[in-house]
Amino acid sequence: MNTVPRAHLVTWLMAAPALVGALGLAAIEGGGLMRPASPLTAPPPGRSFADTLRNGSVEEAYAHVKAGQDPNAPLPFRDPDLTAGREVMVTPLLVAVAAGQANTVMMLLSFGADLDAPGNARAACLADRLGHDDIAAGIRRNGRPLVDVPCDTRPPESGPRLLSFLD
Amino acid sequence: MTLIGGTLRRLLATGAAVFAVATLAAWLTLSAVWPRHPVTVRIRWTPATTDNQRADAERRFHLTSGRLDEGTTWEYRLTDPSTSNIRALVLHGAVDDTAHLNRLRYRPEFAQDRSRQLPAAAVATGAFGAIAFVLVTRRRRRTVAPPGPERPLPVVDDWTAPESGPAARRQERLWSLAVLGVAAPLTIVLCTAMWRTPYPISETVSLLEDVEIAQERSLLSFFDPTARSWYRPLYHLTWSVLWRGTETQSTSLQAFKLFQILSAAVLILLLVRCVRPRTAFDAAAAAFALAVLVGMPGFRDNLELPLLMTLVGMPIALMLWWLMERPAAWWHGPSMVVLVLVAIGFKEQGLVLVPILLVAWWMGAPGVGRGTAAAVTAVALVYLTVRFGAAGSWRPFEQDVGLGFQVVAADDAFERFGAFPWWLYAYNAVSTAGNILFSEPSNGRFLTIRDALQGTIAPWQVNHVLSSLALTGLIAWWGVQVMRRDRGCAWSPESRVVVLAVIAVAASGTLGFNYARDRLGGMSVVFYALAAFHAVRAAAWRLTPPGTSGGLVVGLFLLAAAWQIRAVGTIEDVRAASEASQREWITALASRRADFADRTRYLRILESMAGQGLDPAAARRSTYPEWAASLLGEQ
Repeated sequence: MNTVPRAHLVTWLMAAPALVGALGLAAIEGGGLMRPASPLTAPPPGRSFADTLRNGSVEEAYAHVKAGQDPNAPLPFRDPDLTAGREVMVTPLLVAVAAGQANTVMMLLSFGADLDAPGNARAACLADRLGHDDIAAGIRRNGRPLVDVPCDTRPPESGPRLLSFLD
Repeated sequence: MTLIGGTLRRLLATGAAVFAVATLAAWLTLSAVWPRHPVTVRIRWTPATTDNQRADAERRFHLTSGRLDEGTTWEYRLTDPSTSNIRALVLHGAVDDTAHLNRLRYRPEFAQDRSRQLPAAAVATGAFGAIAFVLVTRRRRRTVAPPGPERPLPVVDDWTAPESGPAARRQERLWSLAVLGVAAPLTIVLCTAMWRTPYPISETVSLLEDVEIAQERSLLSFFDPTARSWYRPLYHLTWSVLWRGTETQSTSLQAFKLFQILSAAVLILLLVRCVRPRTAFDAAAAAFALAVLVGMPGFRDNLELPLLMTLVGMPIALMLWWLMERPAAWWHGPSMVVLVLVAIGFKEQGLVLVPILLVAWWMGAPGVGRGTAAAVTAVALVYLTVRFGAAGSWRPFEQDVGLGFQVVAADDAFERFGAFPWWLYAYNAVSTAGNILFSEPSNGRFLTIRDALQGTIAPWQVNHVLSSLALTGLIAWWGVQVMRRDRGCAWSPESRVVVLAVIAVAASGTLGFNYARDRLGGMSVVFYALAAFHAVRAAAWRLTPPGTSGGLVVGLFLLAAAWQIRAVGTIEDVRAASEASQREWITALASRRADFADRTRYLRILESMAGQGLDPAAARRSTYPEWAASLLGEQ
């Protein structure tokens, strides 16, 4: 191998990553233009609001609210850990608190969750009971309920956390 | 020092000696003639303090010429400005608050503190003396290479020479366009991601509130060095001009974002212009250098909205370098001074350009004249005098400090290191330099080492550290070769890049003494990328003869691939910042409304910005396969 082909080889090897990167980015981003809309406007298919509150991201939960879901309306909720598989009607805020989703709790408070709405008043108490101190503090600081609700100071019972609280 | 010619050694040694002698002489002279004035202070006594108690305290703390100002506040002449007396005064139970005293260091404010003014003035005099000495005694080095040893490295064309004909210019245009074509997808996607990134609540809303309040008083208030511990008048002025000059707040936000994006794009264009690829070989090295520029933490961290301060300074550094390496013209000097002023006006990191310009002049860069060097020195000294003159209220640590594997809160840092902060300052400076050279530590914390020890190290961390180690090693190898080659000869543009890169890293580290952040290395990223271009070009050149190691060729390819991955990772980093910013808007609106309920201006700006913060079109991370995402950086 003489110097010139070797120089060509070195040049190509030096440039190859940049060329591959450029082509790859062009292909991926070009294809991305044809992707469906952002998760903020399109919640993942098949996931209910209740399921999103339990397991999803705050962005997905926000997409539901933005799409018209009432953040104060009780919804049917069933979970093996939180309700022992029993279906209960509960507000989105309580589900998010029970699931320990701090960001989702703050989102709900930012976008319409009302602590004076039926069912929401004891959200901070539920957070206290489950040991979610940061969530409890956030609710008390930001939710500004009209009436202070005294919390049940009994120690939490074992078993389904949300169900025992509702009972 | 063996790499530096004898002339440089002599000049440095003599300059240092002149500095020491001039500083000492100034110190002795000023100590004798500098007047000792009592310090004017104001003290607010607690309401419970009786007249007798106040009189006792006045005697005890040497407070004279008392005059009632208002309420329980009195103005005095403090005749004993010792640290122990001020500490006892500040901590006394009857004292509610004080003015004109530094309550952290227990000293008078700088403007009245003789014990701090005196050494500052002595050092400034010494610096003046040393610079004047260099200006007077500087001799041009030989401008031709001596006959004798063969030059082992390819020499970049003499960029100060006239263009070598239309064919050469066509070649340069062609290969420059080729590099820009290869860089176009990266640049366009990066700029698009920035455009689709929402402004965060933190930083932006308070900033705009400050701008609105300040511009109701006077635009000159942005130039008041006593207003804050940081000084970025042109940054705030830019906001103010856009605020006033556009019809809606939304337009001004978009205009500012466009300014930030253009700064990044211009930086990429300028790098290609500065390296001037004339062959396919050069073009490949230029593409490598672009990946280095975009993949550096110092570049990445400066893309954060709305913190464009250093991002403005980075293209300015390249413009300056371009002017320095061009044949001298009458307009170079004024342009350079203006560029330095703009960079400093946007952020303190612009000061990095001062030693850069002085050293370039000293090394015979053709575009820098003696007058320009003197003018920039004067600008820097005036700036430093003004800043230190207003330093009375500076805290030893302005922000949280990364230390080892931990973050130390600013107040805790003061408790632990306030009495002697210099060790922590040195740690911060070295950390900033280390981040530029090795991508570790980050923000003062050795997170890659920590994660390696815990067995949780991610592929992107390995890639960052190894690619930085390899490239810095390569640059060091190339730097040594160039300095050896040029020993005893005229400084070449390459040797200036070597020295300027070292100076830029050192200066960036020094300016990051208070707290280490990746973005503080921004100004040196430019010179690091320039050095990377030359180093990889030289290394590749060495690999072209038949018989050289194929393993090294593969190593060069892997290095280029590693940096390309880092460059693409920067896009994902911007998108991750966009997601984080949007998440903040989704989750923090309620708390901000509650926390700032008494600030109507803040709330108005907050509500008016919510639309862009919640825009569903905001940039989001790509859905790469897990292995690819972990290589690009799940940060």
